[in-house]
Amino acid sequence: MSGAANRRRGPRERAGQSRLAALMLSPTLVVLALVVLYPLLSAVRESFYTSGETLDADGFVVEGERFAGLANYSGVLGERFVNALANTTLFTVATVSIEVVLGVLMALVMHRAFRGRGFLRASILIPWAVPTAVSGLMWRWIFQADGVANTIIGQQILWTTEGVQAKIAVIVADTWKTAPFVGLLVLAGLQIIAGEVYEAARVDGASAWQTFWRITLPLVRPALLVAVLFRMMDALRVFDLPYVLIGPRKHSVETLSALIWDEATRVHYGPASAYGTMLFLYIALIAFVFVKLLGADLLADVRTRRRVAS
Amino acid sequence: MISLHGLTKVYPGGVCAVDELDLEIADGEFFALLGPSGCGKTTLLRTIAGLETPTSGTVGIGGADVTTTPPGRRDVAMVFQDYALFPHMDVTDNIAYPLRVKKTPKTERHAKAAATAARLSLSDMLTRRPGQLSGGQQQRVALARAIACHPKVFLFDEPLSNLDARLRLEARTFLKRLQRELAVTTVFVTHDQGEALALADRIAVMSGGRLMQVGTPTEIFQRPATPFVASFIGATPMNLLPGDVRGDVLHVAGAALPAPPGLTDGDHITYGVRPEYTDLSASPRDDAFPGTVAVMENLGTANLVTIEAGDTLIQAVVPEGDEPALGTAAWAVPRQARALVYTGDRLHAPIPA
Repeated sequence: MSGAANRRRGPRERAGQSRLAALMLSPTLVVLALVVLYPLLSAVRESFYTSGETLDADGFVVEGERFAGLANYSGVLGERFVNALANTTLFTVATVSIEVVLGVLMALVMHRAFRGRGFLRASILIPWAVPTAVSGLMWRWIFQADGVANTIIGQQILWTTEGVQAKIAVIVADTWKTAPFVGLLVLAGLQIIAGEVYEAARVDGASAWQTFWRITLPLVRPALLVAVLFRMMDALRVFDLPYVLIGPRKHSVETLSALIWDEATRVHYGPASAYGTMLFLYIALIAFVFVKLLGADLLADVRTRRRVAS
Repeated sequence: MISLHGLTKVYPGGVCAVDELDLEIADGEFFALLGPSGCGKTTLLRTIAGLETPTSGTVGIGGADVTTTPPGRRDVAMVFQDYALFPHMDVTDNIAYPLRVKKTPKTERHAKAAATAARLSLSDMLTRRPGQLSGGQQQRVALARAIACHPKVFLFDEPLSNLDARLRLEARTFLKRLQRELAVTTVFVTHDQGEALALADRIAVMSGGRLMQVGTPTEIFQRPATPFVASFIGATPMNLLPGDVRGDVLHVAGAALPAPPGLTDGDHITYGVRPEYTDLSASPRDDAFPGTVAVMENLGTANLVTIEAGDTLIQAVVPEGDEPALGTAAWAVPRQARALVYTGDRLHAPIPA
């Protein structure tokens, strides 16, 4: 269809077009509503109810769900929830920041042309490919009292019990596992930077350091931001690694997901749903702030480009 | 002054891009490296820039040996084929980047960037990013970045090849005037012979990593040193016809032409004459190549006529209105004063010498 014919279209036709678009999209929206929106809403609803058998004021047994108001949320102020929140936040901040540094380094190494590059790329990605449960067991073995970790540093630390050392063990294992993921995304970002740009910087006399800070890092930033966003959301809901490496119900490494799991397995569906809702809000808030703060000029750039184009 | 001595660049894998090359480029000269793709012209430019390390030989700039000096300390500026602007910086920051690297204070470098941008009529787009500029504007930003830091040498890698045809002509004129005004030694790489002829003070024609000929555009156009240069230079390729010397007569494609002095009986020669210097005659002549009109191509103000003479094709440029009919017999008459005779692979002498 020619552009002229397109431009001559009236508003009625355009309305028809958007109705058609809505019709075409509706199956997807229905599926999304069923598998995403419904569970979400029902979890929120669940968080305001209490279930199971209990005795009422007259001593009769009552069964089924009863509205409980904010009672399930009372635990949010409790020591256990606050501790889990602190652990989750600590793990997120520590692992993501270490992974960004290591991931960028890995990407820079993988990006270079040298013999055996394919082999190195594949081997860097192995930790990411190993199932978390398996790598958790492997690290548990490394962190045993008579394990490799203690042998290397010549100490007798009980890594997998409780305390700061347990937190460190989780952070080390998680970083080992997911730094390659950051590396892979950053590598993809590095590969779309034109080689001429580096040569231009070289002719201008920029040092390797200046080139990294002023050219490479800003240009790889969009890919890095995506990697950090993914990793942050991943880290905020971490469950499996602390569970396998240290164990369930360990105060010093219990994350929000672990707390929710524990409540749910003890048939405390109300509090589990309440904590789940809080975790959801926490992740949503952090993702929102992150995109607002760091993604802002990225979106602004797209917007100005669109304005110029039109 | 740029001086290259015995310069050789062999890439890992054995490809010899530049082969034992000697070249002197004078101060303020606008110098073109011309050749088909793969002839080593870009490698040569990159070696001058310092982006490639020569396998052997030396590179001198302004009297100093810079063979092992890193690119940033050679005081050269380069404009890349794809401009290589920094996509995350606006026009001001792009132009000011070399100054920033040299630790020039912010206000000073921004003033300098603004002044340079004004000179290249970029003042309205100082806060735009490269992605928001047209190809021609990007090219001017790349030029401005090169100019702003006042280098000793400009190096241009096919600076006009990404512009569309009309813009390229404008940019060509602009570039030539700019170079005159700045009087900075400039080396530029091109595969477009018209661009080289139009822009350069001197041209080096390259093939297979070697210099075929170095000279002014007039010298290169009128007295190409080898059949290769002859066929490469000129909007329409030169007619290069094999012939024999018999006594003092050249027998070339059915024509008998006077031989220049210095040739011996029985020599094989290549007779070269440009289509622009070839006329058509409708009646038989001894000093003309006989044939039939096979193809006519409209060049706007003239026609390029191809004459088929047995297996050889001879082209002539015929002014508008004088076109012969297709399929008719025609005689292509070389203007002997403009014709060239090659023996072996070298220019013997133009006629008359």
